[in-house]
Amino acid sequence: MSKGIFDGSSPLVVGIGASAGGLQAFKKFFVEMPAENGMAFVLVQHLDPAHESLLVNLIGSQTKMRVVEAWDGAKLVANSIFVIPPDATLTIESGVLRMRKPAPPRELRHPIDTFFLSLAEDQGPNAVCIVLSGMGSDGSIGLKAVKENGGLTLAQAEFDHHAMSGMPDSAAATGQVDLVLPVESMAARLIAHRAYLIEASQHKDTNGERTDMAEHLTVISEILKRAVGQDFGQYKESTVLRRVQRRMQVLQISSVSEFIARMEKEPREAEALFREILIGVTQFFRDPAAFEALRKDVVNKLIASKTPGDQIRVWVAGCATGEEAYSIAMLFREATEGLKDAPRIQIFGSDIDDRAIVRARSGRFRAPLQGVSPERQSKWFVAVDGEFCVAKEIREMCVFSTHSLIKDPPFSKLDLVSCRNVMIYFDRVLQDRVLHNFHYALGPGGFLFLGSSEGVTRNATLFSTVDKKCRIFEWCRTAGASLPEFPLLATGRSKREAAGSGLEDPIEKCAQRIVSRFSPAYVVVDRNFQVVRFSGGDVGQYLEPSAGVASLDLFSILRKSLRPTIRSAVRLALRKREAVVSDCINDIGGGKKRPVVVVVEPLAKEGPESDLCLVAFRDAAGSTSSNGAARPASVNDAVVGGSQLAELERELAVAKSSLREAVDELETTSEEMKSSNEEFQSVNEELQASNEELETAKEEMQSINEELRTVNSEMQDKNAQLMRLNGDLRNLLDSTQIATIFLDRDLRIKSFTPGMTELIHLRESDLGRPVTELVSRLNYDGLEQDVKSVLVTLDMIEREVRIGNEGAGSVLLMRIRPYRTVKNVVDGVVVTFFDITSQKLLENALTESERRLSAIINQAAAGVAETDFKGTFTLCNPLFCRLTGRTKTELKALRIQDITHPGDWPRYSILFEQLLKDGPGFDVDARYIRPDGSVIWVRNSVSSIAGAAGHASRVLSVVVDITEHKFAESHRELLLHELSHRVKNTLAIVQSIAMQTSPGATSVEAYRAAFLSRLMSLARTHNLLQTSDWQGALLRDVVMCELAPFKTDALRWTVDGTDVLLDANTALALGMAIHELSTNAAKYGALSGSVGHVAVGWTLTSCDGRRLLKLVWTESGGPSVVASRRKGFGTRLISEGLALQLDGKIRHEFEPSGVECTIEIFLPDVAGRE
Amino acid sequence: MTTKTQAADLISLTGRHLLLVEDEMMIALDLADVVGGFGCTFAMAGRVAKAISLIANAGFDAAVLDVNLAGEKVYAVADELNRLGIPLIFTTGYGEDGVLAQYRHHVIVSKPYTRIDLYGALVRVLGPARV
Repeated sequence: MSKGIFDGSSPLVVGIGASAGGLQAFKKFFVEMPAENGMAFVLVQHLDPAHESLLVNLIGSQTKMRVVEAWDGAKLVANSIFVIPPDATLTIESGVLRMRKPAPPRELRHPIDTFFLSLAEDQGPNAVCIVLSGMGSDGSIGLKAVKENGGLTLAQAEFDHHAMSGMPDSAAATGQVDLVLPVESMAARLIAHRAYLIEASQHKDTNGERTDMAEHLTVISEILKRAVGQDFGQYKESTVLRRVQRRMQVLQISSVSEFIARMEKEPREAEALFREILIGVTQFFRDPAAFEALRKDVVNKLIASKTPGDQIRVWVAGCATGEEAYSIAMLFREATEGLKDAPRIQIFGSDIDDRAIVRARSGRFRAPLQGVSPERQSKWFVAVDGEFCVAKEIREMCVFSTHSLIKDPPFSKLDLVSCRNVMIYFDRVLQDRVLHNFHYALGPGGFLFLGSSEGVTRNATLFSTVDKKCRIFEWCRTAGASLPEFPLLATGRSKREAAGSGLEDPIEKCAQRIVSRFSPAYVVVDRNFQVVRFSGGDVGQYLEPSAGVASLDLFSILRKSLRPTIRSAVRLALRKREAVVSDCINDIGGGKKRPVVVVVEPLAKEGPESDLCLVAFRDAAGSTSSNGAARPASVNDAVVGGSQLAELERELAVAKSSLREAVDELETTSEEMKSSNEEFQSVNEELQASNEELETAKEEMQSINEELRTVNSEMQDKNAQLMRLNGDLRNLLDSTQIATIFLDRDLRIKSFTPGMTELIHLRESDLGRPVTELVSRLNYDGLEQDVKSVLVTLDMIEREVRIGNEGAGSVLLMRIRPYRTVKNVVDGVVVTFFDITSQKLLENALTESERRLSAIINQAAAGVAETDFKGTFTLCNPLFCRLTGRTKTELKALRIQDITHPGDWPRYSILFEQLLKDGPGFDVDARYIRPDGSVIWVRNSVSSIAGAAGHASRVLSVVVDITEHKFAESHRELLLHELSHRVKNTLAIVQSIAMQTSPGATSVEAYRAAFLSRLMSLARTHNLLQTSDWQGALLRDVVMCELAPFKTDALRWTVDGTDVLLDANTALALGMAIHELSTNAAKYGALSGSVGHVAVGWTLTSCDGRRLLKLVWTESGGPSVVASRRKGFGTRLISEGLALQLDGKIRHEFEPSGVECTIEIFLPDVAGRE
Repeated sequence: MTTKTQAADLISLTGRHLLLVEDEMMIALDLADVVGGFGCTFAMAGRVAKAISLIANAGFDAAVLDVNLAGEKVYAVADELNRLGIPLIFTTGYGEDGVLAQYRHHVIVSKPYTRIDLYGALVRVLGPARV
């Protein structure tokens, strides 16, 4: 962005200064300001360095804009507010904030000025600054800088109720404030201003000057001249142009002709422009060559010419902000350095601009110091906070005051007058007058120092040139010198009066001229006998100027003979304010004496003219005849002549000599008066200096005051917050109904909540009493002990205490904690009581029910386990542990799936998942694997336990061991299967028996008998097996069973053998074989006759690790055996079939002595099933 | 249909040499009578080891195997027969379930069976019926 042109692309920077009471103003300001405004605000406040500011929070609550505490390097962005932190100085460079910490000492701290100055420099015509409420004058200087650079300045209106007088007043008083507005209206004004800047940028050239202005300048100058009597024709065009442009900006007028119309309509606007133009530019040692010449030609000379007691007096007229005055002071100071008995230097700085004078007095200048060499800078300046303060010794040399070259009398008895670049603004007449004044003010040997474009050529008689180039001139004694014409304002006034009075009557004028011939000669004198008017005519015959300095003093120029009489007459007249008439002798020389009547009369009884009086002379001789009667007799004595005359003359001579003495005495007195006057003047100057010091002190006081106010206002805010918090706290304590009592270290009551009165009989008046003195309803007497212990250990003590009887009263939970102050110092204790009666009851009930539950669970004949949703065990009863073969601890590290048989888990997990989705509880049979690898069958009844929220939170499993049941079931199934198989097998056998019986049967009867007998044999063995549940049968039993039908005579057969347990298969086969053997024995063998014997014997041996059974059937004593041709069924069964069914060898021999059958079989280790 | 005409229709099994494996002596004897009645010659075994020892060079045309032999399964015999390409019939009191799945493609005769059952089964394994 070019410095002159604002196009809205970057934020409009608005600096806002305020202090005490600023809070309210800030709030009000930002409430009105929309959030999207394209501006960046920088808030600068007087803050206590040691005090944290709440400003950011407080303003943040009022606006939607971003509010931040400023930091070094913060780039200003639109729609944001940057707040100065405490103890910091803020400046701006190229749109970026710069912050320095800490802030300078209080007396030098002007944060608002500092920021505004940098703002003016950085943003030029686009800067805006606002001074809100606050005490002191901080901001005024910065405001001026902003305005000088073409920026807009605003101040809070005085009538605004938010304002504290002080800063806005001071700012408004500078006249540098463009607009004084109530704070609420500022937002709208700023928005309009921004829009204007954007709009006006279209009319500007690259230097930021309007291109449509030049032609109108003459008209503007004319208007100014008319309105304020000043001609700005000699001003540089661009200077005036920029001032006009700025005024237009303030008024938001975009066309020049409109502005002219406005000026013509409103004289105030012309005045404002005039003020604007007054702003001057100055710097240290401007034009260094000239100052060097000044040092060489003037300063050194002056110092050399003075004696130690003397004073060098310098007047810097139009000193603006004081740079020139200080520059000259430095020159003198440097020149007198090292001199013994150097003359005292007194420099008067004056300017018409009172704001400039304030700044000059402050002696503070912004860095960098233009025109000051580094040596001077380090020697004569003290750097404070980016600004430079003039060293005390330089500052003390200078006195500043407001003074108008035009209307105020000049200083006097000066040695040097410096008036640079001031007269260039004046017209020639004014220049002449001013030069005359300077001449008057300077004494002999005085010098005049002018600006480079100024000179004294038209008044060459007053000054002689010392250095033409550097414009140094020396005072000249000159006849043309006259008293200064002042008050010069009178000229202006008379001009106006003349214009007002219109025409003078020419007739009257002529008449007066004629009448004057007949009127007496007169002079008008003032109180000091200075002649202010001479009449025309023959006034000369009464005057006789004394030798010496030309004077208008009446008694210096009056003829000596008239002086005494007139002196007393004038005094009388002035004192009495009435006309005095006296006669006296006018000695006109040459021995001629003429009587004169003198009339002395004040010009007016009252008013300013009453100090003037008219002294009129009338020759008595010319009117002797007409006025003879009125003539006093004493006067007539003069013409009596004769002897008396000589005596009178002698007397007169005596009188004259005494008069001369009196006059001499008077002159001496007058001299003394003059010297006293000088003393007074110096006293006055001293007083003025003291006054300035006082003013500085006052500023400091104001700044301190302001900080105090800021702190106070923040304290008030904090206090309000504390009150609110306190209220909250009280309500909190009341609403929780937690009885609370605060005790100090000696158990004295500091405060308590209402609930406390129910426990201890407390009243407000009990505050401060030791709590132990009070009657307590608590069944607890260890309070004192506990409090002491808390104070020592600083740990909380918690106890349950009771009110009333055991069981009937209530139970309270008492907590004693140390009371810590904000600074964490322990100062007593806080005792709180919670009523936990109902909790206690619930707790007891709960404990009871829990005990009952755990008893049930522990005694239950089922395993009970609780798991979470992931299946992890959370609880299990002893039986469950026993069932699973694991301890509780082991189980808690496991999940249900970890102990479930993998083959059962898929089925289990589906149900488990459903349950988690709020499915129904379920029963499942599953196997658990124990750590030793054994498996146990369980029936698991699983259900979910609803948590507090109503959703299932845990899973409960009730587990019953069904291993035996399962085993029994499978056994039964097996049996059933076996039974069916066995029946089928048996049927197959029966079928075979039926089939095999038939071939040998000769008749149906015989078949039936044979079949039934075989069937019965089978049935018998079956019976035997059944008694042992088909586990087997003893061989003896099998043999005996088959032999039983032939038991008619026990002596005919013997059975001999050890006990051998046969499996079912072997038992059946052997049973059938024995049956066939015994049947054949009964039919054809040993048992068929009346004699015969059958022996059945067996042995059990071991062969190759297997049991070998050897059974021998031996018949004897029967009929001789004849081997039948055809094998019977029985024989076939034994010799062919038995070997198939049993694993062994069968020998079946038909010996003549009887049948002998040897059966050798291996018994199976495990009972065969088939 | 009479037994005679039926018999006339039947294909002859005469001369066929069969392996009979059955440990239940009563049933074994009956079985021997039945196949003898069909005109077949045969060898008998009541245990697996015996049966396998018989197979080697006997030149059996077919075998009738009882599945369970005194607690021992007959499948080793069946495998040996299969290896030699000798057809076989299972007999069992357990029905089809009594035979392992991988052997169920063989003809299975459920106990108790009639001679006709056995005949049909033998015809199925020995060759197509001739009318």
